[in-house]
Parts: sequence; C-alpha cells; structure tokens
Amino acid sequence: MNLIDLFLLASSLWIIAMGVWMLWALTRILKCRG
Amino acid sequence: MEGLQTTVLIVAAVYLIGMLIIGYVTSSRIKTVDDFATAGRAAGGGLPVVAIAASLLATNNDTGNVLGIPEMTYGGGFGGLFWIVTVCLIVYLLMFVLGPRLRDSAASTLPDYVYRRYGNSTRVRVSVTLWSIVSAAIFLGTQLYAVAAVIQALFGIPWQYSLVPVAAVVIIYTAAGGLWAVAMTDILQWAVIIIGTALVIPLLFILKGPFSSVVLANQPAVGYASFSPGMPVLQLIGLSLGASLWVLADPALTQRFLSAQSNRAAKQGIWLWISAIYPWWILMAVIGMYARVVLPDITPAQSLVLMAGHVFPPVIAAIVFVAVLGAAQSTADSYLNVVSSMFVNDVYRPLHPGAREGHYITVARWATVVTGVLGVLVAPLFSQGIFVVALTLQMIFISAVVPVVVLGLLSPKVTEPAAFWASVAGGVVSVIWLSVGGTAGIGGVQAIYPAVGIALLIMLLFSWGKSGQAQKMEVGK
Repeated sequence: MNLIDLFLLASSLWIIAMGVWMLWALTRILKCRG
Repeated sequence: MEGLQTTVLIVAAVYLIGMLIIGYVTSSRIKTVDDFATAGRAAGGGLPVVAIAASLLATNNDTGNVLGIPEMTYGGGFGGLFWIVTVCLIVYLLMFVLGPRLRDSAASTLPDYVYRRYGNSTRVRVSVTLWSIVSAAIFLGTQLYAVAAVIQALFGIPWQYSLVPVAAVVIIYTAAGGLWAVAMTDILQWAVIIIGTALVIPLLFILKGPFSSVVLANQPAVGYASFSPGMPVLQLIGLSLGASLWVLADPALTQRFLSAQSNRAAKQGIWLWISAIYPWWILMAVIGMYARVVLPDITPAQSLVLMAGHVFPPVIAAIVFVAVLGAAQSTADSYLNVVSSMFVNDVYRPLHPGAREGHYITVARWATVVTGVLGVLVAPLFSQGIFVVALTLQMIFISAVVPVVVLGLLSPKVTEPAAFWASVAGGVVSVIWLSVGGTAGIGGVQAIYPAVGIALLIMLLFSWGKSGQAQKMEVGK
C-alpha cells in the first residue's frame, strides 16, 4: 500500500458516499413532493 | 457472459418498470409548461442541488463515455486521458460564471435566453432554436441506437429487438413527467452507476492486490502508467476542446442551470458534479488498467463489464451492467425533453399565443412522442459509426451556438447583429468544412478552428465601438 493506493481507496469511498447520498435525497424528493 | 443473460434481462425489466413508475409519480407535478421545461422554477420550484449534479453527470456521460474511458486506458494507459481531462477542467470552470448568469436570466430555454439577451431578437432565437433542435434531435437518435448497439455487443441480442422497448420507456416517462422525470431518473441511474463502479476498486484491491503492486509493478508497456500524453500537443488540445466546449452551451446541459432552484443551487450543483466526475473518471481509468494486467486478451471496450463480472456476484454485476446501459438512456431523455421544451416555448407558443396552459402541456407531450419516434426512425442510420456523427454534430453546434451564448453571457458589449451573423456564419462554415474534410478536417485543421474563428471575428467587428448602445439584458421579462 502506498500513497496512490490510499488515494484510490479514498476516491472510491467518496464516490460511494456521494451515490448513497443521491439515493437518500431521491427518496426525500419523491416522498415530499410526489 | 451467456450465463448472465437471463439475470440481466430480469434486472433490465425491473429497471424499466421502475423508470415508468417515476414517470407516473412525477406526472402529477406537471401543471404548466414551466413545470414541464424547468421543473416549475418560476413558481418557486426548480431543481435541487442533487438533481442538478446528477443530471449534469447524466447528460455529460453516455454509455460510450462510460465504457470508453476504461477502453482508452486499457490500450494506452493513463497519460492521454489525464491531459484531456485537465484541459476540459479549464473549460468546465467557466461554468461557475455562466451557470448562475443563465439562472439569473429567468429564461425558460436556451433560445429564450438569447432572445432576451439580444433585445427580444426573433432572428437570433430562430437561428439558435434551429441549430439546437437539429443537433439535439440527431443526438437523441445516436443515443437510442447506442443503447441497442451496446446490448448487441455485450449480450448478442440484435439491436432491432432492444431499440423499440428501450426507446418506448424513455418516451413515456419523459412525456409524462417532463424535466422532473428526467432529473429523478438521472439521480437513480447515476447513483447506481457510481456506487457500482466505485465498489469495483476496493474489491479488486482485496481479490487481486493494491494498484501499486498489481498494475504499477507489472506495467504491460513502457510508460504505461506515466503522464506522457502519447500524442502531439495540438491534437490533444483539439480533442479536449471538441470534448468540452459544447458543454458550455449545450441545450440540455444549460437547461439544468435555467431550471435550478436558485443561483446558489446552480453553483453548488456544478461543484458537486466536478467533485464527483473527476475522482470517478480516475477510478474508471484505473479499472481499465487493472483489466489490462488481469485480463490481457480481451476486447478493450469490454474492460468495465468484464471487471464487474469478475468481482461481483451475478445479480450485482447485472445491476451494474443495466445501469451502465441506462447511461445512454439518461442522456437521451435530456435531449428528448429539451427538444419538446424548445418546440413548445420557442416555436409553438410564439405562433399560437394566448392558449390555456393545459393546451401547451398537451403540445409538449405530443412533441416528446413525435421527437422520440423520429429518433427511433433515424437511429438505424447511425449503425455506420456513431462516433463520427456525434463528433460532426458537436463541431457544428460549437461553431453556431457556443460563441453566441458564451460571449453573450460574458460581455454586455456583444450586439444583436453580431450574434445573428456569427451564428449563421459559424454554422455555415463548419458545415462546408466538414462536408469537404470530414471530422479529420482539411489539412489536419478541424472545422471548429475556422468556424469558431469566423464567428468570433464577426462578433468582434459587429460589436466594435458599439459599446455605447450595448443592449442590457432584460432580466425577468
């Protein structure tokens, strides 16, 4: 494991977190204005 | 791949039904044309930050792009892509200036924006509407064909079988829910795509070992993981500008800014989009490089799909495949929606003013259906090299519309005659240049250089010394 591996893992985590947030936001939008 | 087919078909069916449900749920929100075209922005609605970020991702990345990045790095390593996306970033940063200004213009569509910006000029509106509708409609056809072609390449199902059902679903939910349906399906699709593809990297670390010991320690060619671009600088800049300039004035992308809840939401949406797309592009590039080392004898275009099949159980792999196929759908729906929005706002309403809102919504929905059916009918024409068609369109659009919109947003000094004649000349010169030299250009000079050059020259000459009578933008009218 060196710096570039850590960077790639951090990027993956960031993207996964963003995707999960998008799904959560979608359920909120559909729930309150559907 | 064959064993997966049934699973993929079942997941695809569930997925298409989910899209239709979103269309049905969002259709109840469509009470005015403003709801249809801008998600109800004028009435205090509009797209929230998450929808702006997701639909920028969706419109800017189609299936070709999603599969194309790992394909590129599989063969050529990291360098070329690195420099292309770096030049793109410089262009994208301009959006922080343009996006909020578009939002503040209170226009409903891109042609409506230029109409207001250039002193209620009908001829500029007509010119921009024509170029935008033609390029967006043909682009729609290329996207519909692309989904079917990828399904054929990956699963052996002839494109004729998948084209109609895939297009029908897109047409139905886009006609029903307008921009709301487009934006909500974009969020769902892109959440699945980015989660699915981002999971591939940590799983590869566990199954095969970290990037540094698997790829960097076993480079398949000299300089494979270096930052060397591997192509001449001019070619690199031309590729990057061709890939990024259209984004600044694309009718479907600018529609996101026009529809933003607020000026601030537009800016935050751009931030989120850039902070998602760059790390995600890097991950996609790395997937291609892993594929090269782990599976050295595959077709490069299948890198992503085979790596996903490698690390995931079949059901999860099927979900990732279907979402990636949906990337083209989420690009197609944006263009479908924006063509019908421009048609009702900038063609039909000016010709038939004073009708009830319900009438205009019906017209917008029928325009969606007719445009979609036309898209399906022209789609087979693109079976001869889809990339060239898309590239040709981008070049014409960049020449005819981008200078008029971008300079109009940046400087109050650009006058109406400057905008009109620049749009006409840019479009005509690019069409002539492309019909003589194709996308490769004449003597290696691509069409956007002379066409954008002439458009800029005309704008400069016509606007020169006229700053005293510069037209102020008519905000809120």
